[in-house]
Amino acid sequence: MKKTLTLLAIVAALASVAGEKAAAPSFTLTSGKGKEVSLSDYRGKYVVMEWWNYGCPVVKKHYSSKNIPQLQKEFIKQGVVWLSIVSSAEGKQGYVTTADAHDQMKLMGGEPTEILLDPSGDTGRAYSAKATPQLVLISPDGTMLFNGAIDNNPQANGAAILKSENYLRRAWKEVKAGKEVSMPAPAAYGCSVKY
Amino acid sequence: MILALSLLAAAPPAPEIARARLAVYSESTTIRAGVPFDIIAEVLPDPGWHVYWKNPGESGVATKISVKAPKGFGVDPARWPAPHSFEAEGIIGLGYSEPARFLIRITPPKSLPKGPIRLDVQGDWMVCKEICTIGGGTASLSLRAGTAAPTPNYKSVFAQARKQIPADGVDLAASGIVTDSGTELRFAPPRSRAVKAAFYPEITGQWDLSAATETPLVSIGTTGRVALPLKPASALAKTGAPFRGVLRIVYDKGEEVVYDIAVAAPRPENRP
Repeated sequence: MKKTLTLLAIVAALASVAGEKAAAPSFTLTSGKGKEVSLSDYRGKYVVMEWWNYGCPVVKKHYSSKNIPQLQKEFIKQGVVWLSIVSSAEGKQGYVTTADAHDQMKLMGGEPTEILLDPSGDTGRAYSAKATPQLVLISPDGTMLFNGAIDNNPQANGAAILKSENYLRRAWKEVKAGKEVSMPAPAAYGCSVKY
Repeated sequence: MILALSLLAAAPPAPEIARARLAVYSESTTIRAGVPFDIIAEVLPDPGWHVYWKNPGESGVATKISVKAPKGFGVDPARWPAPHSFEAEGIIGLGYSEPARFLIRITPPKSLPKGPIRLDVQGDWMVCKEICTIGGGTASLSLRAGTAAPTPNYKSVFAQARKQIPADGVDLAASGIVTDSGTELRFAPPRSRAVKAAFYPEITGQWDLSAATETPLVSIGTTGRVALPLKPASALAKTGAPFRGVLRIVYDKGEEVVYDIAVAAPRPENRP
């Protein structure tokens, strides 16, 4: 499984070099509600993937300030699917199970479409997820349009959010206008993903 | 489930434990009108923990240092010490697990105020081990005006700090060369017997951080120049752009010297 996902990531990367569309790696993960969820279930819809670690102070900053909860509402309202992915391994910070994933998310005020559990880290690695938070935007045909930082203000201080440019909103605005995403891969900041 | 949620909601937040401390040093306790002097803001992580460089790498948050000085005092931007790289689960960070000493030049005005002169330094950081915590600290200096020559203070601390501040203005004739097997950072070490080097790019996203691990250098014939391989950070990386960063060169007896370098856009081999 791990090898397959890695191969898919490489294929996606090579396609991008060639100027072709980069396919978002496929996955099937268990949701926080205990059901199997695949990327292919959302064919025909835009999908946002958010790497989430409830214990990471940078994630906390974006939740306690309502920045990410607001983004989730805003995107879901427009028909976008929002998947919060937990790639923390068992025993590492941020690890959740079906027993507590939604409780933890509720405590933080988030309301994603689904929370998906990736304790093996295979999906995280396939998407080159390095930090929490890190955001990915996928088109209805399964093309990866954006993969990177939430904003341009990599600071520990929550007050910085007010002065930040949100890169996901920027990418979304460009996509909706039929333009190429001008910054498809800004370097993510935050805690390392706890593989 | 409702009960569990209530208990979680009612639990007091765990107290944040400081995992790094801030200290500040002045090179002299007596300062003179119009004569610049240096201070150090030192961020000291607990053993096993690390704080981050201006480019924190593939994750992390850059440390921030600010200085509040009396009106009329000039405060130069803090000069960053060269980082080291660290890796966890395949994710590479750039920063410091040893004391990170930021050098800051202060320029007093032509006329000094009477009484003690106070400088307040603020540090903000994210400090990580297996987990990360956001922290910060403040430290102050109280200095006196005097006409006597400044008294050297904390001589060894400043000497060590300056060794870790990348030297600028040293021409290493650095260039990015595209060969059949990939891109190389080529340069001429200012001294002979350079054996290893590490390159810390100023931004993440252009070059893969594998070059930030000390790597044996390859000599290019008898030119005196050496090469360090660079890999694109990702398929989306714009590797054709100019870049900057810090180069750490390790010489044969283990001595390390760090340099600021600026490199023009990589060009094919044998093309000026």
